[in-house]
Amino acid sequence: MIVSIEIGGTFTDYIAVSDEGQYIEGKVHSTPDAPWMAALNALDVLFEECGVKIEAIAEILHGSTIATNAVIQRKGPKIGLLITEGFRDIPFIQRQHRGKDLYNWKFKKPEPLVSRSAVCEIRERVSKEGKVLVKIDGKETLKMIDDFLKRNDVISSLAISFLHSYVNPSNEKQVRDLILKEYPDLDVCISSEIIPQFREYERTSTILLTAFMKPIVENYLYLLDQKIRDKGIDAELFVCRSSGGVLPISAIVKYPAEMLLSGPSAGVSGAIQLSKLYNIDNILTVDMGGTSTDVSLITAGNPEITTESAVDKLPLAMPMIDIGTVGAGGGSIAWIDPGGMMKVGPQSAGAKPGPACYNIGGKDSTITDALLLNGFIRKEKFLGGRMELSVEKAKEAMRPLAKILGNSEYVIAEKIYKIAISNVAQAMRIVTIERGYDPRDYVLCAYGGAGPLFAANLAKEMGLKKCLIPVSPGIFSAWGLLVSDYKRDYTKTFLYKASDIDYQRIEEIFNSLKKEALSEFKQHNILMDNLSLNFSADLRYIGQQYELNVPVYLNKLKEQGIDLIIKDFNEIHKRRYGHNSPEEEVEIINFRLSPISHRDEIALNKEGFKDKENSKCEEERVLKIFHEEKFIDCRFISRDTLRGNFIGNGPIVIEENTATTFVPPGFVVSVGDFRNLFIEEL
Amino acid sequence: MSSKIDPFLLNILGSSFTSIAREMGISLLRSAYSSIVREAKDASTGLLDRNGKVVAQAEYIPMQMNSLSAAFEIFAETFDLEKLTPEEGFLTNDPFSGGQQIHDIIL
Repeated sequence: MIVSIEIGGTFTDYIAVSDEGQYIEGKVHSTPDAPWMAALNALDVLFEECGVKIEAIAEILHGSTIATNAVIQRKGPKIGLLITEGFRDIPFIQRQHRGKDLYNWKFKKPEPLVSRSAVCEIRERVSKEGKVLVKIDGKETLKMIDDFLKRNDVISSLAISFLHSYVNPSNEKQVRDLILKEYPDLDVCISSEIIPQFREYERTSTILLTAFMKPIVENYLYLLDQKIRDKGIDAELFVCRSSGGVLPISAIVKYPAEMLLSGPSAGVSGAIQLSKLYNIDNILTVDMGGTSTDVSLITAGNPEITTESAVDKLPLAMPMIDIGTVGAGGGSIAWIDPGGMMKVGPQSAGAKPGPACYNIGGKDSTITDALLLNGFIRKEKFLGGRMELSVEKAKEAMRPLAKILGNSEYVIAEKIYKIAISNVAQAMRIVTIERGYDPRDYVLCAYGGAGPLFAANLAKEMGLKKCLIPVSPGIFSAWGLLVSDYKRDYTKTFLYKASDIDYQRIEEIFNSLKKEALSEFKQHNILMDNLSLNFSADLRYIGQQYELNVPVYLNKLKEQGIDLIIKDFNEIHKRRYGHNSPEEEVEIINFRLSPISHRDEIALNKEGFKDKENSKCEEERVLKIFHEEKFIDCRFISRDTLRGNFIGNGPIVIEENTATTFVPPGFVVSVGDFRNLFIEEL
Repeated sequence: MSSKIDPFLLNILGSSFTSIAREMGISLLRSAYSSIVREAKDASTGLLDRNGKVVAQAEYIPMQMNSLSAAFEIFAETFDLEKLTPEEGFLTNDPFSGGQQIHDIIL
């Protein structure tokens, strides 16, 4: 049996699947004070309530927001930074910030994870060609570090970031070895091992995040692993990582920054699996939760990756899933701006005090209140019936808005819904049009608690022709974990003019990355019988600052030479920016490899899983919903009753434990193999 | 015909227009060769109506707010805009006719 456990802010979702196709899903409350407890609680439910045998569990796949939260709350170890002499202020100068804070004269730069007094300059220098210009004087350097650590005696984790270490790591390694000899209990990580890329600010920021995360991630995972063994479970534990896929604990503790922002990536892994199941190459994922909506893109079965992410405005240069986020979720508050326009979000009522209809003190009108008034959610059906919502409170919260805008509460509720659609469409635009992709080429896959309620209308807004609503969309991330593969990303910076490099050299560089990858996978006992190697390179026109990632197929490259990469780059540039200059010289700056070792597929049969243990099926009924400013009849159907031959014209509301799906008038819904829903415009 | 503007429609269309201006800006910044454009973000992009009034502008520099209209006026005076095709455009850096300083290029 394989179990996935996804720990979120409020809830911890879990799914268990057996080789015979038995399927159990559920949610328990998260336990922020001792995060691992929620995972153990989930396992307890499986053993005590669902009859799962302890020895049956073979693998546990785990995702958690512990890393991201630690950074956002700045709750972590005191870290120190060793940097090339003369460059002490790299973490503090940062890059120019201008954007949303253009007119904010109270703007404050993001605070780095290290204070200025915790940065120590080391006399060393390496040139950009990798030549050591200033060698490390062992004695002098050790003395400097001794003094530094005495002054900052709370430091438990050190980061080392020297200029051009990605070309020649010897100085970084030498200093690290020096320190570990004298201070074997200190955690030390070096930028040339974690992120051998140029751009010293982003590289330093990434290694600082790594140093910060290392003790946190180690403690958490080793503790979780221990608690699991204590229960008598003999399963291997794998952890979800940021650019998709999972890795065993031994690998994640080496690259702890890969746990950052890993939340959305599990859902994307799930969507990739769906794309394979249904042979749909292009999927646009929309994950709408309580506070925000995350949108990402899968093209030709591959997720869009970016190396320009940030956590709490601190740059993270590792490859991550490219996500467009917008503050639109179930708790997003509707308000009137000083100009008299109604807006929705990004402020959220959160879980406390929550939407007005939660009846726990919330006074603001939110998207959830709007959905309740419109009739899409039934007050007694919320969270599988565990929490009754108050229609009266929802109306009460809506009344001030209704008064100001001169409409009924129901009309306001519908407007809130429509503005939410428009807001999420912005995020969809960012990941498609802004990146040069046409949204009409994609199938919309909606999940999260609220996603399926908006899916059809979002598709209509952006011109997508089909929606796919997976089974249990409210816990789709837990599903994504189940079907994740083993994956890591390897990069090396080498700057070459395209005219100065030949196939041999490119092959040489990629082979060294491959060697590194295979050796590391072996070291962490990752099975490699089903391995795919994905090579790519970052290119730009000479004179540009930003590069574009170009996939590389070595055998094709051998046949057609470097010109193939240049041609592909020109095409990608045209698609992304609307123009290109094929006569301009091009340079290659980074070489990348993302090896993926495919895990065994889980047992899925076309009829979907055997009926879930705890499904509460209800008979179909017809109720009223508020649509286009009037009340109309709408079928309400329990999702668990739907089988492969079902087809129906909207309006239909399909209810299940973790989410609700809305099929508007003018749309038709059908049930596909594996019990996923497809919605299309008539 | 009612001339009352539906505030919700205004909200929705407004965000879309701003998106368009913003997408232009991002393309410009990311493909730029000039470090003044790509690092200092000293550039602006916008959407104008047929009379040259700014509908939406992605301003990276407040100094350039609404400067596009001034350039538009000159183009409108000098050329017959009715004959314009989507493949045609105007380019100026003349500070005496709608431009700002010589190094500033308006397209």
